[in-house]
Amino acid sequence: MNTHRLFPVGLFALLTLSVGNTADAQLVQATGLSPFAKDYKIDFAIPDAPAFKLLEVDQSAILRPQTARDLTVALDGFRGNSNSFVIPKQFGVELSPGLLVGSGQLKVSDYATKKYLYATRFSGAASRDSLNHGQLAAGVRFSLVDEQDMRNKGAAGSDVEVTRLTASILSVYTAVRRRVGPAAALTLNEEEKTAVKALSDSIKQYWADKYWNANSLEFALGARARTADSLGHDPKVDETAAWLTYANGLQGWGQFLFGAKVGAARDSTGSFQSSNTFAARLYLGSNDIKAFVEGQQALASKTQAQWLVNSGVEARLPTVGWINASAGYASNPTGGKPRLISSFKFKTAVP
Amino acid sequence: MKEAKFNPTGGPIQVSVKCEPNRNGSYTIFLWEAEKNQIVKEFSGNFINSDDDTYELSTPNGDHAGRLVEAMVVVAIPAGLGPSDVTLSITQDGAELQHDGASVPPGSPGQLVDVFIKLVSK
Repeated sequence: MNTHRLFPVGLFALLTLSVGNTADAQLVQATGLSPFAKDYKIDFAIPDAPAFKLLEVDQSAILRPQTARDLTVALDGFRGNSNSFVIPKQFGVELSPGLLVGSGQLKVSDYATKKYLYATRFSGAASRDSLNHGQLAAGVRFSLVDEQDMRNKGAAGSDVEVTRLTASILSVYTAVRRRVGPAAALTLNEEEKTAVKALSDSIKQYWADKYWNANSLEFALGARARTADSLGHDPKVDETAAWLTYANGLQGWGQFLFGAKVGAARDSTGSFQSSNTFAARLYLGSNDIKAFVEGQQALASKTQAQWLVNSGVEARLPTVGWINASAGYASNPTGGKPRLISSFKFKTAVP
Repeated sequence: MKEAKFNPTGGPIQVSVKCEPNRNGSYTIFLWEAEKNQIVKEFSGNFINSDDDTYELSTPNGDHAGRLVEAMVVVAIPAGLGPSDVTLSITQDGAELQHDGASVPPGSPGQLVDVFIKLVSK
């Protein structure tokens, strides 16, 4: 069975299923805002999923923490033999089953009480290498601390900007009340619904700008199998890994990540060797656009570059997704001169 | 609709709005004339501090019989926090006559709570 043919089909099916669940989403209800968690998602950056990371789409070992989403899709390998853009060679999907299956009816109050369940995400990824060998990977990650989802800075009533926006929303409702009197239902017309939604979106954007770099701690596990051909025959596990990453916010302008990857991978002789790496990354900017620099050092690793320095940018394409481009140098695992490394990724999520 | 039975010869009736735990939000309290679409008085505020969210109605108290007190409160609570309880309270001479409210869930970028209490003379 051709896994590379099936993968995009399955991906499309998942996207269709999910979009079907959310197609009739309406943020503004007749008498207030939607009670459903899906309507309050904030568009934070989409990080690599554990499974996608194991495809070696880039040399960086750090697995960036992020608030859970229903479903995300990552594409990489856009560069062809002559450096031209080609159909991407690597696909990755990460989903939270709880958020995806129940997204249409999940109440925000339910989400709050089971946030660790909803923040557990499973990922799958597939690619093929230049020799037409396939790679399949799977992973799972858990949020141990997520202050992007514990957005408590300034939430205790003292934030003047959010208070101002709530006053503007309130002014819409009070105008309706004055119009209809105390006995009638508070029913907003289309213009008023639009105004409330725009103001609510402003609060969400404000929170995104303020909390994009909040502290978080994540743990993840993953495994990768190499197949004998692109049809997925004779899969053999050739790497297992565990990641632990801590992200620390730096005021409103930056975020520092420190992480470790511990695992084992097959070397060129087919025997497993330890593959352990420590890495640090610094982001500078805002939620919508940021630059980063990173460095990493392998410890007791015979399968990965001993060191790496890298830098890049990450940008949000409103309503479309995120792009991530980077370039740097890495040591050559087989000796010799350091190699130039580069990466271009596109990621998107269920709206 | 809940009723607050006040003493017409007692001290001034007080109305207050609370958001516990305190979150970012704004409110307007309307005092509606009995059986009319007429606003007698309104008070507006926010939760930047909670010291000034109690208001005294005018005297004599008997004028308020049959009137409605409405609190319209918009609260914004980021996801990941616990819910907050928004409450409208009617008090007189230090005793609570009635309260009503609703819980605002986390992840609400501007949730409206709209509650009424009817003032009834004992």
